[in-house]
Amino acid sequence: MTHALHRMGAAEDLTDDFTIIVRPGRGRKGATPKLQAILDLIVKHGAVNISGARGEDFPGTSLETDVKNIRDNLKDNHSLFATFKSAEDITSFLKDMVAQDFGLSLVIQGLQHSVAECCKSAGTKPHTVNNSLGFWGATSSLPPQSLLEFTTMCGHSMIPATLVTQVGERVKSGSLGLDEAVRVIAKPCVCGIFNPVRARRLLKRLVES
Amino acid sequence: MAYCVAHAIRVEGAVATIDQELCYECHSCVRCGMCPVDAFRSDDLEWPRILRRMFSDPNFPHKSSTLELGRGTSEMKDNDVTGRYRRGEAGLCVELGRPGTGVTLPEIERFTTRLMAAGVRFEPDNPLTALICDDAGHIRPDVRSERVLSAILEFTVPTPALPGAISMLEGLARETCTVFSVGVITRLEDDGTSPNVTLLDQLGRRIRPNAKVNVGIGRPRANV
Repeated sequence: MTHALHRMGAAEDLTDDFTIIVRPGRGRKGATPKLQAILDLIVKHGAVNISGARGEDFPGTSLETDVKNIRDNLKDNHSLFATFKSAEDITSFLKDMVAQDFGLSLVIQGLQHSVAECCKSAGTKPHTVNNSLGFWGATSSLPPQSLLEFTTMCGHSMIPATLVTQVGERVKSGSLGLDEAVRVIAKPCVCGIFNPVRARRLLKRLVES
Repeated sequence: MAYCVAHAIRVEGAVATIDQELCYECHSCVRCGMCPVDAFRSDDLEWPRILRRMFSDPNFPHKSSTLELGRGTSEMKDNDVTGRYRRGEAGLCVELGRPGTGVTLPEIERFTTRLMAAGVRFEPDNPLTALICDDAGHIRPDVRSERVLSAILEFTVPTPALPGAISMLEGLARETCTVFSVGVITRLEDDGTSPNVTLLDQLGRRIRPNAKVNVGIGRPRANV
């Protein structure tokens, strides 16, 4: 699906926002050990949110459960999702992925020119790109950009704008700290591409505005 | 209540109720576990109501069609292996109801009928395609009363036909009561350029700076 694609924000606000999907695809039979090894690399290179074992037996993202639980629940047909907070981290992760040649497909979402640089550093070439043309239709019904920047970090649209507004008010009133506020907003997002580092920065700006 | 994407939970006095028409069956209320009296329960849904959950709960598979999770296919995520998108083509992902506005099945039919009348053929492995019951793009009558958080139309056109497809979507954008997001997929040239992006630039279409990039490390490599 297109869920990591339409993340809102100005280019200068997306420099700390890279997400990945590792897809076993046709080679899924026997993929679990590879997925577990890739998960270890994701952790090694400092991912700030991780998910893998989705489905009705879903144990949670790494914001909700420990990585061992995610690792133990991985199956051949699962994809891995993760979020990185810098171009340096995603580049070092990709270098390891290229070196270890698992044969599984990898998609990186981020500023396109940054991802191209990352590929160049790691010795691979972008193969296929999905470009976003944004939102069309009755867009006057959408919340303001400042809230869409949070809600679109969940590609399944599971984070309501009303939750962000409510949490922002609690932070402003002093009844909720920024770190806990980010966890509250991230809770409905099941796939590990909600970026808590970016969210903390955006939330601080939202409550100070 | 703040966790409900459908704004379907109402509180009157000390009693909370769920508006069944508004509810997408996304199960976020159950999954988040934030109810102070643990009142949310998972119902055993029957057809066609269960369709809401298939398209709205990210952890619930499409039991009636693809048996996969998600609202579309793997599209370009494994294109280095599947070769679904080739040079000289543009893949279009039109996600109706996204972000967060939701969409009814009759509203989806507005798009499917219009696009199929123009010769579009939708991706056969997409779960939404399975709900189209004829060559005119009509949606199965038994699901027409349902609504979902979002659903994706996936199709491919030759690159020269991309301006026509964009023009048709612009027309639908003026008519629809919901929101949709548009993605254009390109198998890149060897020098990293995208003929589709060049065309979109010429059309004056603003392209977001962030994109999804398949970095080409899947094996065995498709010859596309």
